[in-house]
Amino acid sequence: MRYILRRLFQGLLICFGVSIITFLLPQIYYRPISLAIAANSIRTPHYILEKWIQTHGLNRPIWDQYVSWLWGVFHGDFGISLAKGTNGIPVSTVIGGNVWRSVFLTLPPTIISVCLAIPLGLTQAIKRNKSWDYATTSFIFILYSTPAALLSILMIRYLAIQFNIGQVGIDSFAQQVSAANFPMYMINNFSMFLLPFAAIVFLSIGGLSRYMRGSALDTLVQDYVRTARAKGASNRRVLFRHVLRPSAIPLLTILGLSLPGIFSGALIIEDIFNFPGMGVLSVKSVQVGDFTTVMMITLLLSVFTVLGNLLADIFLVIADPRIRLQGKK
Amino acid sequence: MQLLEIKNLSIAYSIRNGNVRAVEDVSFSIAPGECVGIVGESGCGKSTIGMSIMRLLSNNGQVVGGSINLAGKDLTRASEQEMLKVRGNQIALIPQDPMTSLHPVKKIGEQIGEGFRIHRGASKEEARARALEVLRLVEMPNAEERLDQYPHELSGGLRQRVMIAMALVCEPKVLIADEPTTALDVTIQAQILDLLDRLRSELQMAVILITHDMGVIAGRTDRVVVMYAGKKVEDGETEDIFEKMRHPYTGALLSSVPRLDVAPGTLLQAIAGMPPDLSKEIVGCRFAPRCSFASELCLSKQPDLVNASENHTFACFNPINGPVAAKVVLRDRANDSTAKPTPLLSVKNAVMNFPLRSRGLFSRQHDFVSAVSNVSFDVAQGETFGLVGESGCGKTTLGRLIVGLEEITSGTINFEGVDPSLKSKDSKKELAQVRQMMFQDPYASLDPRKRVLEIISEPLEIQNVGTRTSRYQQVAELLNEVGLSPEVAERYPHEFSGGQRQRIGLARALAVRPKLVITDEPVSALDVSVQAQILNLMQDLSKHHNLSYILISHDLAVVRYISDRIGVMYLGKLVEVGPSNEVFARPAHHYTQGLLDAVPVANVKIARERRGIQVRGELPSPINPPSGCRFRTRCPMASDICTAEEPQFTQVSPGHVVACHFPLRTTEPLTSN
Amino acid sequence: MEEVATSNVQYTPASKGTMFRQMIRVFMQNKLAVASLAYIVILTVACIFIPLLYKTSFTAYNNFSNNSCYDSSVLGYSGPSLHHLFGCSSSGFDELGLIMYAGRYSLLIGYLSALVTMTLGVAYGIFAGFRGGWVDAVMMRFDDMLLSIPSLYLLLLIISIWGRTDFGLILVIGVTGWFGVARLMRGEALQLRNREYSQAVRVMGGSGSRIMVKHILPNSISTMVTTATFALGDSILALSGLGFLGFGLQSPAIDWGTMIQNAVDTFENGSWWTLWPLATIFILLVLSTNYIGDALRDAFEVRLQER
Repeated sequence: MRYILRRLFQGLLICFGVSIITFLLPQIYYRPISLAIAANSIRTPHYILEKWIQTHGLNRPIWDQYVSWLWGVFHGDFGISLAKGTNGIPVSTVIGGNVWRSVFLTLPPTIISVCLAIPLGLTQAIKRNKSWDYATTSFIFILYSTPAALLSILMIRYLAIQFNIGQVGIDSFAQQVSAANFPMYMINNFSMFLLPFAAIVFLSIGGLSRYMRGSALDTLVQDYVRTARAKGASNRRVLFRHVLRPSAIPLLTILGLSLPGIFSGALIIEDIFNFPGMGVLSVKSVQVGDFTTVMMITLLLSVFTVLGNLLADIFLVIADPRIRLQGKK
Repeated sequence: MQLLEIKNLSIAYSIRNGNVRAVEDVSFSIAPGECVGIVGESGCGKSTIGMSIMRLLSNNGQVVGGSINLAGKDLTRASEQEMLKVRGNQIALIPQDPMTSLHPVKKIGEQIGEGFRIHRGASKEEARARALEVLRLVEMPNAEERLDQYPHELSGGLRQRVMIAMALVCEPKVLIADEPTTALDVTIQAQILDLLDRLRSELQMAVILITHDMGVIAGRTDRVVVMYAGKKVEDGETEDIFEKMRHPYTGALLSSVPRLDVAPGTLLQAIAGMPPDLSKEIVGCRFAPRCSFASELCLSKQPDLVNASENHTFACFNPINGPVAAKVVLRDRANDSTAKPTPLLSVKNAVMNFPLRSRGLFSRQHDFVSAVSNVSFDVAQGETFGLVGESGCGKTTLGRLIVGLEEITSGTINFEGVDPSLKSKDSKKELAQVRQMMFQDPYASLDPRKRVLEIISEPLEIQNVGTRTSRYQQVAELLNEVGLSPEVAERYPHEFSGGQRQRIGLARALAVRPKLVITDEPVSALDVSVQAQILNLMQDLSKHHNLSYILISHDLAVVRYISDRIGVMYLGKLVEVGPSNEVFARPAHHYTQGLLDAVPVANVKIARERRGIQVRGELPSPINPPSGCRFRTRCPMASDICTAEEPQFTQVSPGHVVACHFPLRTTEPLTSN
Repeated sequence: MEEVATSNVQYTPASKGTMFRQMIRVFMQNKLAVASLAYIVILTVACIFIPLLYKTSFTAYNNFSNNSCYDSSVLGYSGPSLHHLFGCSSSGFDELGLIMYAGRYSLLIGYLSALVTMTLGVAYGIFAGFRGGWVDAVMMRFDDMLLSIPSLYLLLLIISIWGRTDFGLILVIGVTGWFGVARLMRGEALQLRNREYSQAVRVMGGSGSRIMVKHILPNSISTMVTTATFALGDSILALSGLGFLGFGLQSPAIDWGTMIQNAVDTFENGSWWTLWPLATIFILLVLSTNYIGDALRDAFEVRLQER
């Protein structure tokens, strides 16, 4: 229990840290005046720009801005979008349901990826250096080396267009679907989401299965595996009851660490498949210089990563009694 | 008919560059209730034989000849299915390291009961009941609770009991114990070996005891098979082997190991050279290159096994006839402690507490490990001080404190009047000139990426002594002193054997000509035949340079061999200090006596006649050491005052002190500091 | 206790450098790795020299030289032909030449940013791991923090601030990639500082920096080299990701990521040559780095077994 609390606390610290970074970064470069110009137009008279800066509170000392921004975040007020022509829509509206939709896009395939990586890595370890190992490793390496963009495009071209598997992109109607209804929507229109899901699985399975293979190899040479065989356990029994769990447990840590990577990959995939998520939004926001939105998106994603890590840690505690009992001895 | 018969067994491993003939043409047999010991150094093939009986060799190992007959059936020709029925059922294994041999994420009850479920088709409850039964059989305290615990919650000794329980669960006919106590403390080792003896007679099991320790062999086995470089060199009843051995190797083994039963000052006969490379073809007797009795014939032809008597065989052309008498060198030891000049090293009231990791921000001040508690002793110039004790006694920590690798919590450590707590960088360098360290692990103590030259000259570099060329000269001299040729300076550590690396480590420690060298387990990681070389070297160097050593070891015999005075530690406290001969001959503290009782002695008569271990139980936790006398929980003489009051040092004779309320010798209050 | 007569029972009287040679031998035994290494070298050389020799102009938009792709009769692009081995791009440049030209930038940025990543990561990680205690804890928390920001987002954020110059890209990709490296190197440092040879230096009176530079650094070479190869692959991927989103180099420079993005539009209309050659070259490159990294890992492992 204490361990979990400790991790929670650390996670909070990390989130704070991230918020500071995401806040400070744009501040280093974006000068209020250029933002004002961008938001209005080049020809706007100076005093109007000044006024704009003042209303947006951009001329206050940095720490002051940070505190009030952070305060706002806790209250659900994410600030105001600085994109041109938006006239100060709250960022929360801009981001809106996109957050949840992105989560729905990335979470299921990640879980599938883990479920596939475990047996894959395990079999690779057992049949080390035999043809299965080489073949699957090569396949995985190729997937790993393909940039998300290429992969998605190729999938669209050859699977969707040529063989009619899945669809080319998500309907723009999807944007209208609220966060709560989204899961049902996904299930109903599964073929639409097939390709993006597959893409995410392909992207993440490489690292995970490779790690699992290494972990399984390490486990297989442990003394306690020999003890199991000395008891007369069949290979099958040894594998499932003695090797599987210790090999898979470290995978949880890696999973937590690879979340940021999965989110990054999802960005591109969303872009290509036209998914109404944070990906497209963030790219656009960066392009127009709407840094409040970008800040918020980055912060949110980081929080999700931290949460993901925390969940992985909790699972770790449940799965590995050594950690659980650290407190006792 | 014998229960298990090994006939002309040959085993080979395939490695990158070829084949290693790990075992060649070995035969022996074992009857129910009998204990056969297989003894030899590392690489001799004894473990390989054990593993092959159960067909547990690693993937690249294979039986290439001979047979293994269990009650008439040849196991080498059995299918894997049949072997599955044999393992854990008819033949069981007790491996060496109980820490890594238990599954970390499974409960103990489950692990023990698994064999029962596999071979007897038992249900979970039945298996659990049987596990409990077996735990009681191995005298596990609180057996019922243990069923639901995890391995890391138990100490080493208890874990080994679990391993034994696991092996017994299906009542096997043969038990293979592969170095079952090497990883354990001496007092625990004695308990486990007693347990095995008892179980063997109760259950009439045949036990194959694989070990490198001749003392264990002497005390626990009926017959012995002596292995060298994959071949059996001698085989017979234990008494015959020890008292009437014929093969020179057996004799050399017994005389190269420090022993407690011989007179102090008996010179160890080191065995020169190293075991042969088994991946190459070997002509002639495998031991011949190292044998002091070898002749031309030995080098060209391999000796066959011949009978010395009915049950005693050996393979040698020039056999010996019983133990070779060894020289006794009377060492002139500093026995009296009066009239001493300023001691070289003076430790006073040293305390070392390790804080336990605090959970979260709220650290608890009272959770710490009391590693060293109020320890005081002196070391004189030219003296070898032995620090002895089991794991967790604090001797390693104390060594690290003296050498500056740990920061002392309180107390002082003075070198010739210099106070080392001055934190300036220069004083650290100054101290480095006075005291140096020689490390335990020959593989990890030398930087694998540096040549020997760089390794040995590094301390000189740091002290800014001389120039590049002059340093090279010094390195050459040092190498000479430790018995290596100066050419080796160009080589890298991985090109050397363990013993040679320890020599290099010693040379490095001596580079700055320190007055004191602290060595932590200098020979534990080495083969027995090599240990003697290093110990003799250390002695010579000490005489030559008037060097002082602090020898930290758990091995009493090693300590006795080269120490002038010794200090016995238990759970952070010094319990007895005195001249080595006296303490070993007539110890005053119960723990010292317990240690001496527990150490296996390579002498069959003594081993069989000695009384059982008097030290009970397990080591208490250093986080919460027992009040009063820390040893009281395991002491046969403990009483109320031991719980209430911590014993102070009293004097047995000048220079010999003990901290006990009921010491084994009469004492008087301290006369001098 | 060993069952096999391993190297502590025999010793090979060898000259210095044998260890190194053996590692190379093991590496060479891995055919894929050798092929990968060859591929990278050839590709790098090609990207440097082909644009110089292959007479196709692509730095200016309107160049009507004889071999240019611009053909007033056909608008824009055409498929592979004898003159243009990989066909023409939509903007009217020779595809092969364009790939090689973009390759210069992509490879350069890839190599240099990997260098930046490694330098930062190694220095940070080893320092943190060696110091231990609270210094390590704080430094690692900071690193955790940075790690939890999805890299692409961080890249976007910084790029939009810094600008899309090649120097900027090098810096940015380099600076966002070092967190993982630091973690790995810190693990190495933690392990190595507890080795007895490191402790021996302290006993000798040596300073911490001596241990770090002379003992820990050389002994973590294996991890460093392996990590470096993977870092290279990651840098190249990161650059392509940025380019694809439109944040790559600005003209007249161009990089592969941007090329991919350009290709996407034309791809759907069937002009496969704008994408496939590039894709193959690219994937093979990243694949090569992965194979090499994997093989290096194995080679170093062998050496460790010899102790």
